Amino acid sequence: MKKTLLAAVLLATSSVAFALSSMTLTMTSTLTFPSANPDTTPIVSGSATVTATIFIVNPNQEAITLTVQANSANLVSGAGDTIPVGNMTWDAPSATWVHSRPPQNQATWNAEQGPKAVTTSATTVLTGNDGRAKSNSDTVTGTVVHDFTFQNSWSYSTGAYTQTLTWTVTAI
Amino acid sequence: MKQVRDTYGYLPPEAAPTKAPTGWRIALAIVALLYVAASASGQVVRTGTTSVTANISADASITVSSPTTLTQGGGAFASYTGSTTVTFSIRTTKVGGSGSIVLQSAEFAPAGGPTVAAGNLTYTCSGSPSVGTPCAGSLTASTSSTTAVVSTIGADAKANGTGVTVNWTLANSPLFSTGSYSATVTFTLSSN
Repeated sequence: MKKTLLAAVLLATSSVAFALSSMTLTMTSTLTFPSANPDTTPIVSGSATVTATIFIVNPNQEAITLTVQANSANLVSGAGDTIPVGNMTWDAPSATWVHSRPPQNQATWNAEQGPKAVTTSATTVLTGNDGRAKSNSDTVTGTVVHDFTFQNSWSYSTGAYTQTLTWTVTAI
Repeated sequence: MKQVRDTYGYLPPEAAPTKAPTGWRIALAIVALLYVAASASGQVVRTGTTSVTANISADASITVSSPTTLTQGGGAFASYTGSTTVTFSIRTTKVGGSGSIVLQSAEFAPAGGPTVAAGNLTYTCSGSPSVGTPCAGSLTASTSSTTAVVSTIGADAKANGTGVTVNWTLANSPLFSTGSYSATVTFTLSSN
Protein backbone atom coordinates (compact mmCIF):
# COMPACT_ATOMS: atom_id res chain seq x y z
CA MET A 1 0.00 0.00 0.00
CA LYS A 2 2.75 2.46 0.84
CA LYS A 3 4.42 1.82 -2.51
CA THR A 4 1.29 2.58 -4.47
CA LEU A 5 0.72 5.78 -2.51
CA LEU A 6 4.26 6.94 -3.19
CA ALA A 7 3.88 6.18 -6.89
CA ALA A 8 0.70 8.20 -7.05
CA VAL A 9 2.26 11.18 -5.35
CA LEU A 10 5.32 11.04 -7.58
CA LEU A 11 3.09 10.91 -10.62
CA ALA A 12 1.30 14.00 -9.43
CA THR A 13 4.41 16.01 -8.68
CA SER A 14 5.98 15.17 -12.00
CA SER A 15 2.90 16.48 -13.73
CA VAL A 16 3.27 19.85 -11.99
CA ALA A 17 6.97 19.98 -12.81
CA PHE A 18 6.06 20.06 -16.52
CA ALA A 19 5.43 23.82 -16.20
CA LEU A 20 8.36 26.26 -16.41
CA SER A 21 10.40 26.45 -13.23
CA SER A 22 11.04 30.20 -13.23
CA MET A 23 10.91 33.26 -15.43
CA THR A 24 12.53 36.68 -15.16
CA LEU A 25 12.16 39.84 -17.24
CA THR A 26 14.97 42.35 -17.50
CA MET A 27 14.44 45.64 -19.34
CA THR A 28 16.77 48.37 -20.52
CA SER A 29 16.26 50.81 -17.70
CA THR A 30 16.39 54.12 -19.57
CA LEU A 31 15.38 55.50 -22.93
CA THR A 32 16.40 59.01 -23.99
CA PHE A 33 15.32 61.14 -26.90
CA PRO A 34 17.88 63.86 -27.62
CA SER A 35 16.75 67.36 -28.45
CA ALA A 36 16.60 68.05 -32.16
CA ASN A 37 15.42 70.67 -34.60
CA PRO A 38 11.89 69.76 -35.72
CA ASP A 39 12.59 70.98 -39.26
CA THR A 40 15.63 68.82 -39.79
CA THR A 41 14.56 65.96 -37.50
CA PRO A 42 10.78 65.72 -37.37
CA ILE A 43 11.05 62.18 -35.99
CA VAL A 44 13.61 61.68 -33.24
CA SER A 45 15.04 58.24 -32.70
CA GLY A 46 15.81 56.99 -29.23
CA SER A 47 19.46 57.28 -28.30
CA ALA A 48 19.62 53.48 -27.96
CA THR A 49 17.44 50.45 -28.40
CA VAL A 50 15.36 49.06 -25.55
CA THR A 51 15.91 45.37 -24.96
CA ALA A 52 13.62 42.98 -23.16
CA THR A 53 15.38 39.88 -21.90
CA ILE A 54 13.15 37.00 -20.86
CA PHE A 55 14.95 34.21 -19.02
CA ILE A 56 13.05 30.95 -18.47
CA VAL A 57 14.22 27.86 -16.64
CA ASN A 58 12.72 24.59 -17.81
CA PRO A 59 10.45 25.94 -20.55
CA ASN A 60 7.57 23.69 -21.43
CA GLN A 61 5.72 25.06 -24.42
CA GLU A 62 4.27 28.06 -22.58
CA ALA A 63 2.57 30.71 -24.63
CA ILE A 64 4.55 33.92 -24.13
CA THR A 65 3.12 37.42 -24.47
CA LEU A 66 5.07 40.65 -24.07
CA THR A 67 3.14 43.89 -23.63
CA VAL A 68 4.05 47.52 -23.06
CA GLN A 69 2.14 50.47 -21.68
CA ALA A 70 2.84 53.92 -20.36
CA ASN A 71 2.09 54.51 -16.72
CA SER A 72 0.15 57.69 -17.50
CA ALA A 73 -1.07 59.69 -20.47
CA ASN A 74 1.72 62.24 -20.82
CA LEU A 75 5.41 62.83 -20.72
CA VAL A 76 5.73 65.54 -18.10
CA SER A 77 8.44 68.16 -17.68
CA GLY A 78 9.71 69.53 -14.43
CA ALA A 79 7.72 72.67 -15.10
CA GLY A 80 4.57 70.66 -15.58
CA ASP A 81 4.33 70.89 -19.35
CA THR A 82 3.03 67.77 -21.04
CA ILE A 83 3.45 65.82 -24.25
CA PRO A 84 1.00 62.97 -24.92
CA VAL A 85 2.66 59.56 -24.84
CA GLY A 86 1.08 58.84 -28.20
CA ASN A 87 3.88 60.91 -29.70
CA MET A 88 6.14 57.96 -29.00
CA THR A 89 6.08 54.83 -31.11
CA TRP A 90 7.70 51.47 -30.58
CA ASP A 91 8.74 48.79 -33.00
CA ALA A 92 10.29 45.41 -32.36
CA PRO A 93 12.43 44.63 -35.40
CA SER A 94 14.43 41.88 -33.75
CA ALA A 95 13.41 38.98 -31.52
CA THR A 96 15.33 35.82 -30.79
CA TRP A 97 15.26 32.77 -28.55
CA VAL A 98 18.44 31.05 -27.45
CA HIS A 99 18.29 27.68 -25.70
CA SER A 100 20.99 26.65 -23.25
CA ARG A 101 21.24 23.41 -25.16
CA PRO A 102 19.30 21.85 -28.01
CA PRO A 103 15.70 21.63 -26.81
CA GLN A 104 13.03 19.07 -27.34
CA ASN A 105 11.05 21.78 -29.11
CA GLN A 106 12.49 25.03 -30.39
CA ALA A 107 11.04 28.29 -29.02
CA THR A 108 9.45 30.59 -31.55
CA TRP A 109 8.30 34.18 -31.88
CA ASN A 110 5.31 35.19 -33.95
CA ALA A 111 5.18 38.22 -36.19
CA GLU A 112 5.73 41.46 -34.33
CA GLN A 113 2.85 43.85 -33.84
CA GLY A 114 4.58 47.21 -34.36
CA PRO A 115 5.16 49.93 -35.14
CA LYS A 116 2.52 51.34 -32.85
CA ALA A 117 2.01 54.40 -30.74
CA VAL A 118 2.54 54.11 -27.01
CA THR A 119 -0.67 54.11 -25.00
CA THR A 120 -1.70 53.70 -21.40
CA SER A 121 -3.31 50.38 -22.27
CA ALA A 122 -1.25 47.23 -22.41
CA THR A 123 -0.38 46.68 -26.05
CA THR A 124 0.94 43.38 -27.26
CA VAL A 125 4.43 43.72 -28.65
CA LEU A 126 5.03 40.12 -29.45
CA THR A 127 3.73 36.63 -28.80
CA GLY A 128 5.53 33.35 -29.01
CA ASN A 129 6.25 29.99 -27.46
CA ASP A 130 9.17 29.20 -25.22
CA GLY A 131 9.72 25.71 -26.55
CA ARG A 132 10.31 22.59 -24.47
CA ALA A 133 13.46 21.75 -22.60
CA LYS A 134 14.97 18.32 -22.39
CA SER A 135 15.71 18.62 -18.69
CA ASN A 136 14.56 20.72 -15.77
CA SER A 137 17.81 22.65 -15.66
CA ASP A 138 17.72 23.76 -19.28
CA THR A 139 16.97 27.40 -19.98
CA VAL A 140 15.85 29.56 -22.83
CA THR A 141 16.51 33.27 -23.22
CA GLY A 142 14.24 35.45 -25.27
CA THR A 143 15.54 38.79 -26.46
CA VAL A 144 13.30 41.41 -28.00
CA VAL A 145 14.91 44.59 -29.28
CA HIS A 146 12.75 47.69 -29.54
CA ASP A 147 13.26 50.86 -31.51
CA PHE A 148 11.48 53.95 -30.23
CA THR A 149 10.73 57.19 -32.02
CA PHE A 150 9.43 60.51 -30.83
CA GLN A 151 7.36 62.99 -32.81
CA ASN A 152 9.20 66.31 -32.66
CA SER A 153 7.39 69.63 -32.72
CA TRP A 154 8.00 73.34 -32.44
CA SER A 155 5.01 73.50 -30.14
CA TYR A 156 6.80 71.83 -27.24
CA SER A 157 8.10 73.98 -24.45
CA THR A 158 11.69 73.36 -23.54
CA GLY A 159 12.42 70.94 -20.73
CA ALA A 160 13.16 67.33 -19.87
CA TYR A 161 9.97 65.32 -20.18
CA THR A 162 9.73 61.99 -18.41
CA GLN A 163 7.45 58.99 -18.27
CA THR A 164 7.74 55.34 -17.29
CA LEU A 165 6.94 52.40 -19.50
CA THR A 166 5.84 49.17 -17.90
CA TRP A 167 6.55 45.94 -19.69
CA THR A 168 4.76 42.70 -18.83
CA VAL A 169 5.66 39.21 -19.93
CA THR A 170 3.12 36.48 -19.37
CA ALA A 171 3.67 32.73 -19.69
CA ILE A 172 0.67 30.48 -19.81
CA MET B 1 -11.07 -25.57 23.95
CA LYS B 2 -11.66 -23.99 20.58
CA GLN B 3 -15.13 -22.64 19.94
CA VAL B 4 -16.68 -22.97 16.53
CA ARG B 5 -19.29 -20.54 15.29
CA ASP B 6 -21.86 -21.56 12.75
CA THR B 7 -21.97 -19.01 9.85
CA TYR B 8 -24.56 -20.87 7.93
CA GLY B 9 -22.43 -21.39 4.90
CA TYR B 10 -21.20 -17.78 4.55
CA LEU B 11 -17.71 -16.48 5.19
CA PRO B 12 -17.32 -14.87 8.58
CA PRO B 13 -17.10 -11.07 8.51
CA GLU B 14 -13.40 -11.07 9.40
CA ALA B 15 -12.71 -13.21 6.32
CA ALA B 16 -14.75 -11.10 3.87
CA PRO B 17 -12.83 -9.12 1.20
CA THR B 18 -11.79 -5.65 2.32
CA LYS B 19 -13.10 -2.51 0.62
CA ALA B 20 -10.92 -0.49 -1.77
CA PRO B 21 -7.87 0.76 0.08
CA THR B 22 -8.48 4.14 1.62
CA GLY B 23 -4.87 5.01 0.66
CA TRP B 24 -5.89 5.23 -2.99
CA ARG B 25 -8.49 7.78 -2.12
CA ILE B 26 -5.89 9.85 -0.35
CA ALA B 27 -3.55 9.57 -3.29
CA LEU B 28 -6.25 10.64 -5.72
CA ALA B 29 -7.08 13.55 -3.48
CA ILE B 30 -3.44 14.62 -3.48
CA VAL B 31 -3.27 14.35 -7.25
CA ALA B 32 -6.43 16.41 -7.60
CA LEU B 33 -5.12 19.05 -5.22
CA LEU B 34 -1.82 19.29 -7.03
CA TYR B 35 -3.55 19.67 -10.37
CA VAL B 36 -5.74 22.36 -8.94
CA ALA B 37 -2.65 24.09 -7.59
CA ALA B 38 -0.94 23.74 -10.94
CA SER B 39 -3.92 25.24 -12.72
CA ALA B 40 -4.10 28.14 -10.30
CA SER B 41 -0.43 28.97 -10.86
CA GLY B 42 -0.48 28.15 -14.59
CA GLN B 43 0.11 31.79 -15.53
CA VAL B 44 3.44 33.34 -14.71
CA VAL B 45 3.65 37.13 -14.97
CA ARG B 46 6.71 39.32 -14.66
CA THR B 47 7.04 43.07 -15.14
CA GLY B 48 9.85 45.51 -15.87
CA THR B 49 10.09 49.24 -16.42
CA THR B 50 11.90 51.70 -18.64
CA SER B 51 12.25 55.35 -17.71
CA VAL B 52 11.81 57.60 -20.72
CA THR B 53 13.20 61.12 -21.05
CA ALA B 54 12.60 63.42 -23.99
CA ASN B 55 14.85 66.45 -23.98
CA ILE B 56 13.52 69.57 -25.61
CA SER B 57 15.94 72.45 -25.99
CA ALA B 58 15.79 75.90 -27.54
CA ASP B 59 16.15 75.74 -31.30
CA ALA B 60 15.42 77.69 -34.46
CA SER B 61 15.25 77.49 -38.23
CA ILE B 62 15.24 80.27 -40.80
CA THR B 63 14.64 80.43 -44.52
CA VAL B 64 15.31 83.53 -46.60
CA SER B 65 14.03 84.03 -50.11
CA SER B 66 16.95 84.54 -52.41
CA PRO B 67 17.99 86.21 -54.56
CA THR B 68 16.23 89.51 -54.11
CA THR B 69 16.38 91.71 -57.16
CA LEU B 70 15.91 95.41 -56.65
CA THR B 71 14.18 97.24 -59.42
CA GLN B 72 14.16 100.92 -60.21
CA GLY B 73 11.04 102.87 -59.57
CA GLY B 74 9.62 105.38 -61.99
CA GLY B 75 11.44 108.63 -62.66
CA ALA B 76 15.00 109.66 -63.17
CA PHE B 77 17.34 108.40 -60.52
CA ALA B 78 14.51 106.88 -58.59
CA SER B 79 15.53 104.42 -55.90
CA TYR B 80 15.62 100.69 -56.39
CA THR B 81 13.24 98.59 -54.28
CA GLY B 82 12.56 94.96 -53.58
CA SER B 83 11.50 92.58 -50.80
CA THR B 84 12.97 89.61 -49.05
CA THR B 85 10.74 87.12 -47.27
CA VAL B 86 12.08 85.69 -44.03
CA THR B 87 10.35 82.56 -42.71
CA PHE B 88 11.33 81.16 -39.35
CA SER B 89 10.51 78.65 -36.65
CA ILE B 90 11.65 78.99 -33.10
CA ARG B 91 11.30 77.81 -29.55
CA THR B 92 13.03 79.60 -26.72
CA THR B 93 13.88 78.42 -23.25
CA LYS B 94 10.86 78.28 -21.01
CA VAL B 95 12.37 80.44 -18.30
CA GLY B 96 14.71 83.28 -19.23
CA GLY B 97 14.82 82.45 -22.92
CA SER B 98 14.79 84.91 -25.78
CA GLY B 99 15.28 85.18 -29.51
CA SER B 100 15.82 87.62 -32.34
CA ILE B 101 16.54 88.05 -36.02
CA VAL B 102 19.16 90.51 -37.18
CA LEU B 103 20.84 91.22 -40.50
CA GLN B 104 24.21 92.41 -41.65
CA SER B 105 25.21 93.28 -45.17
CA ALA B 106 28.42 92.84 -47.04
CA GLU B 107 29.51 95.63 -49.36
CA PHE B 108 28.20 95.91 -52.90
CA ALA B 109 30.45 94.73 -55.62
CA PRO B 110 31.91 95.75 -57.93
CA ALA B 111 33.01 99.16 -56.83
CA GLY B 112 31.74 102.24 -58.56
CA GLY B 113 28.13 101.84 -57.61
CA PRO B 114 26.05 102.11 -54.43
CA THR B 115 27.69 101.26 -51.14
CA VAL B 116 26.34 100.01 -47.87
CA ALA B 117 28.98 101.99 -46.06
CA ALA B 118 27.54 105.20 -47.45
CA GLY B 119 24.10 104.34 -46.11
CA ASN B 120 22.65 103.66 -49.54
CA LEU B 121 20.82 100.51 -48.38
CA THR B 122 17.87 100.94 -46.06
CA TYR B 123 14.94 98.72 -45.17
CA THR B 124 11.65 98.47 -43.36
CA CYS B 125 9.90 95.43 -41.93
CA SER B 126 6.32 94.32 -42.55
CA GLY B 127 4.20 91.39 -41.57
CA SER B 128 2.99 90.00 -38.27
CA PRO B 129 5.12 87.16 -37.03
CA SER B 130 3.45 85.09 -34.32
CA VAL B 131 6.33 85.81 -31.98
CA GLY B 132 8.51 88.87 -31.56
CA THR B 133 8.22 92.38 -32.94
CA PRO B 134 9.20 93.37 -36.49
CA CYS B 135 11.53 96.31 -36.85
CA ALA B 136 9.86 99.70 -36.82
CA GLY B 137 10.61 102.57 -39.18
CA SER B 138 13.40 102.68 -41.70
CA LEU B 139 16.74 101.20 -40.71
CA THR B 140 20.05 101.55 -42.47
CA ALA B 141 21.93 98.35 -43.19
CA SER B 142 25.52 98.15 -42.06
CA THR B 143 28.59 96.14 -42.94
CA SER B 144 30.08 96.55 -39.49
CA SER B 145 27.20 95.73 -37.19
CA THR B 146 23.90 93.93 -37.13
CA THR B 147 20.57 95.65 -37.29
CA ALA B 148 17.21 94.41 -36.10
CA VAL B 149 14.63 92.54 -38.13
CA VAL B 150 12.58 90.86 -35.39
CA SER B 151 13.25 91.56 -31.75
CA THR B 152 11.78 90.86 -28.31
CA ILE B 153 11.07 87.20 -28.87
CA GLY B 154 10.50 86.26 -25.27
CA ALA B 155 10.81 83.21 -23.08
CA ASP B 156 8.88 80.04 -23.95
CA ALA B 157 8.18 81.38 -27.43
CA LYS B 158 7.05 78.76 -29.91
CA ALA B 159 6.47 79.38 -33.58
CA ASN B 160 6.43 77.21 -36.66
CA GLY B 161 6.81 78.78 -40.06
CA THR B 162 5.98 82.34 -39.13
CA GLY B 163 7.53 85.20 -41.04
CA VAL B 164 8.42 88.80 -41.73
CA THR B 165 9.13 90.73 -44.90
CA VAL B 166 12.11 93.01 -45.34
CA ASN B 167 11.43 95.81 -47.80
CA TRP B 168 14.63 97.20 -49.31
CA THR B 169 15.39 100.59 -50.70
CA LEU B 170 18.66 101.22 -52.49
CA ALA B 171 19.50 104.82 -53.22
CA ASN B 172 20.22 105.84 -56.78
CA SER B 173 22.64 108.48 -57.90
CA PRO B 174 23.93 109.92 -61.16
CA LEU B 175 27.36 109.35 -59.72
CA PHE B 176 27.02 105.57 -59.85
CA SER B 177 28.64 103.86 -62.78
CA THR B 178 26.32 101.79 -64.84
CA GLY B 179 26.37 98.09 -64.19
CA SER B 180 24.94 95.33 -62.01
CA TYR B 181 25.85 95.40 -58.37
CA SER B 182 25.23 92.81 -55.73
CA ALA B 183 25.69 92.40 -52.00
CA THR B 184 25.11 89.51 -49.66
CA VAL B 185 22.93 90.14 -46.66
CA THR B 186 23.16 87.64 -43.83
CA PHE B 187 20.16 87.07 -41.56
CA THR B 188 20.83 85.57 -38.20
CA LEU B 189 18.12 83.99 -36.06
CA SER B 190 19.09 83.27 -32.51
CA SER B 191 17.24 81.33 -29.85
CA ASN B 192 18.25 80.59 -26.33
